[in-house]
Amino acid sequence: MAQGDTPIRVTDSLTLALENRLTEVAVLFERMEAFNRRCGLSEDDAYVLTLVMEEVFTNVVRHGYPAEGGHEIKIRLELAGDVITVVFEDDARSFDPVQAAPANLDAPLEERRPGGLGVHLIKTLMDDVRYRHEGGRNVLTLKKKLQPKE
Amino acid sequence: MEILEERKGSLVLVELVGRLDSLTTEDAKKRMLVSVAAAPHLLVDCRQLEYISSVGLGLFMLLLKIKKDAGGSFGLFSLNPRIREIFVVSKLDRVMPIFDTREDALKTVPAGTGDA
Repeated sequence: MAQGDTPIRVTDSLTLALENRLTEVAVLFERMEAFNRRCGLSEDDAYVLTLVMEEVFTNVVRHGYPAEGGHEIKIRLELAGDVITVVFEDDARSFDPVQAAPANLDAPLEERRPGGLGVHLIKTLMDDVRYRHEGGRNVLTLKKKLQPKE
Repeated sequence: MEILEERKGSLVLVELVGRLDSLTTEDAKKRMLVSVAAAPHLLVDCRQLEYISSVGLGLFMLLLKIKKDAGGSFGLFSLNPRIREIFVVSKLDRVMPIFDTREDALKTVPAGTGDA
């Protein structure tokens, strides 16, 4: 190992396999709440992380499949130091949120559509968002640096 | 999600208690669409709103559009700082009337309707 390289210490992690149903959001919330509490996340960080997880998951369920059910969406969260990494993996229709056209947030109310808001929130609230399509699967990796603990 | 409604002349005051997320917003929408039709002006007390995601923001956008089209008014007040930040990040604070307090919100409703 080169000098200066320190192994990343995973201090906590959570792995979830949810079915592509909107009602699975209940499971997502429950597991996230426990994870956030266990990791001692600030209320602000816990809110943002839960919100982003809801937006990604519901986008995949709503837009990724012709109908609900029969597919698995894998989610892994890892807390290493003060960085949370979230990886979503699924076999939904390929969709790259990084390249998606930005929502027109400057349009007057009449022309604004709630549609693009979820992706906007994901990209704005996380520090790093990367997408790759690999072996017919979507792999979305999100990172966020947590606030220093009070 | 608990929705408490109070009617004052041409104003309906709705207090939201709980969360506006993918599980709760559809039901809240059905009930708010009844409230929105009950009087020209609608104010939403968000003091006890704990969480909102994009579906909840979409609901507020819909209610604002309905009120604007009908020549009434719509506003939110007493948002907690985290939720307010989501409005700012979404640039919805630029199109949606958001007030710090109930008193500030009531001042915007035409005279004779508020209790400020």
